[in-house]
Amino acid sequence: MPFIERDHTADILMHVWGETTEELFSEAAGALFSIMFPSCRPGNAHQAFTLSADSYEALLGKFLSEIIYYAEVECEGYTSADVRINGFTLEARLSGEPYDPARHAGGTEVKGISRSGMKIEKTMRGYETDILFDV
Amino acid sequence: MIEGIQKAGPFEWEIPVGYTPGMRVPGRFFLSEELMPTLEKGALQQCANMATLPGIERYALAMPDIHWGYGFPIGGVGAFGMDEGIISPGGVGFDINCGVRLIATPLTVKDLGRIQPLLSHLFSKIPTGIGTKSPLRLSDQDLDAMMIEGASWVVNQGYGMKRDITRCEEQGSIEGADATYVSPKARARGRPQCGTLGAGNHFLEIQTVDEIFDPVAADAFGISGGQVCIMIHCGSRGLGHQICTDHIASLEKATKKYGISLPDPQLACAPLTSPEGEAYFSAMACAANYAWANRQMITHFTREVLAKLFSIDYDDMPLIYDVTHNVAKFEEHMIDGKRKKLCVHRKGATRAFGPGNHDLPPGCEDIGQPVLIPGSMGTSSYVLKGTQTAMEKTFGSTCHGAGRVLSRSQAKKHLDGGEIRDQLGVQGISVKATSNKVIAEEAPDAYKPSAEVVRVVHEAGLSLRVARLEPKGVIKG
Repeated sequence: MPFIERDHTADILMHVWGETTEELFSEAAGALFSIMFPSCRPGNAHQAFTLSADSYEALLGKFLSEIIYYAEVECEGYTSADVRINGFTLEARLSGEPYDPARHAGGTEVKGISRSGMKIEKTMRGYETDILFDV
Repeated sequence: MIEGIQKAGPFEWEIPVGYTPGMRVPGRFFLSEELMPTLEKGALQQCANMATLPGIERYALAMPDIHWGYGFPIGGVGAFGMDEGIISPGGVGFDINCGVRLIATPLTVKDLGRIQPLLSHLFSKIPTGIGTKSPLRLSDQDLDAMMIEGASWVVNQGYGMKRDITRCEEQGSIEGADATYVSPKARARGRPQCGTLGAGNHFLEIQTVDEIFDPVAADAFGISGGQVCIMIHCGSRGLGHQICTDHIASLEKATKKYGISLPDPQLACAPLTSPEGEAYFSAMACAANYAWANRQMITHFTREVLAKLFSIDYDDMPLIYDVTHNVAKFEEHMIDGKRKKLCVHRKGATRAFGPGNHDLPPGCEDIGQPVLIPGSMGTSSYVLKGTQTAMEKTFGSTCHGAGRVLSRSQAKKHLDGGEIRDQLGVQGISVKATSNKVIAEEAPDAYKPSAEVVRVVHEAGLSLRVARLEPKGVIKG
């Protein structure tokens, strides 16, 4: 798994990495899915959207917030995110299944994506950042 | 002990200017020697970061439930002057007006009998956990009215008693809410969720009053020994989360525009008098009012269940009080002998106005404001009263709960939800939760002992103990 949970007292802090920014964003979505939808499976629920921002950090925050929004209003649980990035514009396609509170209990509600400590850095293994999920 | 802090009183510590670059005022926090080992460097740093914000008055404050969050620490209180001060969602959090209310009943623990059937009825009546929706169908106009009028809109729809409103902080709605600053996304999330409990640390708890410390105050608040009470802890749900998300994005731009330098991007802010600052306040107030409406709706569902199950009158279940512990509000406080309007941010802190202040419920004018401090799952909750000391030292603020010591990942690693459920059962506390995982994450051992946190605010005079309540049954999302 290209993300690990780090200790944080109040919330959930994840360290995420990927070879490319697209992979980093896709793995960041994977980290979010692992918190919210641990028991969801791939299925016939899909969402697609496009977003822009003025930095990679702002774009990542916006992207993960958009996933939380779609999950809640469409009542879906996602398992994968396909991401294309061009400059500071992102196209994403989410896949998963309809969320069933009875069957999919056990996830943690994420209230928001904190910008605290989020800094996308170029490293030996590509791109890395911490992401703090407010739960 | 962490280096660089100084003792300022028996329960009071100072973070001197210079602890972190750019501090405009010192930090002050309240903690006992016993709780000192729970103090994290990250939380201290966040308290120092608050002190760098423009227009901060007197001290960057933190209550004894201080712990590492984002932006402000949890337990943080910061007050900002109208001329140079700022407003920041980092001082409020995503769950705007997360808060607590306590409802009295005419029942005693003997009347309850077996608690499981009651929990099951409440669990099926009150939508709990991720993905659950309200039975109410709100129109856009309804949502608008709810965001402006708060708890009183719900009462006027027939879901409560007029008296309830007088028992809410700010009468259950903040002035200045303007729904034009609430995005269609926030509306889409808020419309189906009024009257839902949510997940995580939110709960509904059946409690009994086990000890009265201050009979006069208890009587004024409407609490008596042995009585069964219901405590509700929740907030503004997806609507508030989305409002915070939307406005952080615009405030990040405003931070640059107004040339404010920040040690933490989550402290993104704007001057109180700027269009961006006013827009955030107006939208945040909508979420705060929605949260009061939400807790009022859950109160109605709870009263209906109890009335039916125990053949008691709906009207015999008065609201004792409702407090918010994640909010920014305009209040007047004395600064250097002068009354000054301030924007007080409380992030995981509770207002605790002393006797003689405005906005105290009828009958409590000489007593002080009722303060509600929930324990962690399976531990004592407390009712306290606000004090003049809090007015002088903390802009009328006190703690909001026990405060975490273990991260959720550590809690899950070291604690077993099923075992905790059994242990609590042996202590006479029933738990109904959507999963065992949430029980492990929210286990009593993941929190500071609530009794010690409350002892600190009591000894420091920030609020005084009135009653202790013990849990009998809890519902968690």
